Amino acid sequence: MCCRVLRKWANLPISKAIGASGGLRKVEALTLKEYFGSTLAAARTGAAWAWEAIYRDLAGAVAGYLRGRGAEDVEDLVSETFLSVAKDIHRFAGGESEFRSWVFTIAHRRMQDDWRAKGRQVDVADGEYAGHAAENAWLGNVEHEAMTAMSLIQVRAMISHLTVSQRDVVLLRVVGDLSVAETAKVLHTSQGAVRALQHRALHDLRKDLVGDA
Amino acid sequence: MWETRNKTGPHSDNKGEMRNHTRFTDRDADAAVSGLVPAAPELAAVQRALSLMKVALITEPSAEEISAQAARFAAAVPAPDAAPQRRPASPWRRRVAAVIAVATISGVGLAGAATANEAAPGDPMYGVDRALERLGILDGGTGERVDEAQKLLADDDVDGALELVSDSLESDGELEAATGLRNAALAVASNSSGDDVRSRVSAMLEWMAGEDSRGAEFGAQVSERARQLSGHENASQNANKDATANEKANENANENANENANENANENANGNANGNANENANENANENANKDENSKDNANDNADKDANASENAKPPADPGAEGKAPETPAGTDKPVGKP
Repeated sequence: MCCRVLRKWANLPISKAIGASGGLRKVEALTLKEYFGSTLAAARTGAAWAWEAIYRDLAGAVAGYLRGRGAEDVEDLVSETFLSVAKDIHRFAGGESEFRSWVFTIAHRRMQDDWRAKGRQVDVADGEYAGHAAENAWLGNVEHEAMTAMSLIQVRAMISHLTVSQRDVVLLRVVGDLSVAETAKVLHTSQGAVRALQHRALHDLRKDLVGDA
Repeated sequence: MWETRNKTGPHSDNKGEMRNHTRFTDRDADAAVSGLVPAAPELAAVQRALSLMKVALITEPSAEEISAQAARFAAAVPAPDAAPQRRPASPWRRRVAAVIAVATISGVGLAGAATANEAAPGDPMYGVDRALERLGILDGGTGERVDEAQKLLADDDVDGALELVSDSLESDGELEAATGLRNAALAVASNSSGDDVRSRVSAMLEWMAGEDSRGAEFGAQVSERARQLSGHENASQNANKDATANEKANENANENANENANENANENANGNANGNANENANENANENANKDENSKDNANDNADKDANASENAKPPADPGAEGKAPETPAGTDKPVGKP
């Protein structure tokens, strides 16, 4: 059933599907680039502007990854993740790429800890929890709703056939804007494994979206 | 052959998974995932869907949220001096630090071991002492235990001293000696007569410390000496046997007593210096009493007083001395009878 719904997006031209305003801008990677070094140095001294820049840069992607993985209390997890980053910022060494990997690693672990603490959660992609989840996580934001062509429920339906590892890879690569190497670092695996998971995931997605014919 | 080709061919309905897998490359996959470059036609639909997924999942935080959260995180950053490990040490600094650390540890270790070696049971360092001995760093063994036991003895802990040495003997395999010492410890515990027993134990421990030989003969000697410690009958054997410090003291006392008694008797016979006789009698050993009693018959009333004083001063404790007593007054009779 979900596949039939998804095929609607598969046949749309990309600009129309994403929406005229804002959609493509969001697809671009948001990075600090040459300002990263000075921002990190300021963040270490506790400068609020630096933390604003870091949070603006990464919070949306981190929240998107957690949301895509079906985490509850996404805002709390994001907040905890960045608090850990702030507490350990003196221990971090590296460039922006390493920083992004590091932040996503912390988020990933936080999410796993949360799951362990709460036990296995019911998948909300289909069934009676779906409407509840959509109401809480997405439908309340009218502006966002206007700009978005795919609902959270549909996203979940789309990736529900993927394995957990495949979902991790796809979400980190797409939503987190991480490279294969960065994704491998976050998931503590090899780049070859990430590539294999990615390949397999895209193959399965394609099968669902376009059909086997 | 044709049938096989048809099965795996492009027009077959039964397409294998492998064929689907090889349709796009890793580069195609990367393009589809990044969403920046148009993907290969096979993955165009997937690319669209993933782009939509990204838009749906990412919600940009509001400006108020950003500033509020950023203030929290900025406040959570620890002070820079709370993280001294930030600056990586140079290899040379690390090497020098390691050398200093090793030197310090070995210096402290030697000093500590020397201090520990002096420790007796009950001291804070005693555990360290035993541990180092077990490791073979310090000398252990019965010799060391005997030294420690003498320290305990100096602190009036006779039981503890005997227990310590007998434990040590037992662990050295000197079972007979250990048993003897334990018996002695029991006897001391049941009949603790203070300084006397302590001095004997001390003398015995000194003898043990000086004794180099170990084995059956040593064990037998220890048991024998331990038996001597444990009772009064043994004390009489002790008196008849070779000279311990105690017995020597008794003999000296007897000799002195004889001389003094002779002098006193002479003086008493001449009817002089009763006061001096009294003083001497008080200082002398118990034989004095017997002598004075014998001389009483020949001497004046003052001699009677002396005898009473002597009896009160020192009750006879040494059975060996009683045997000698009849002889010495016989000696005193002579000078008394002469004048």
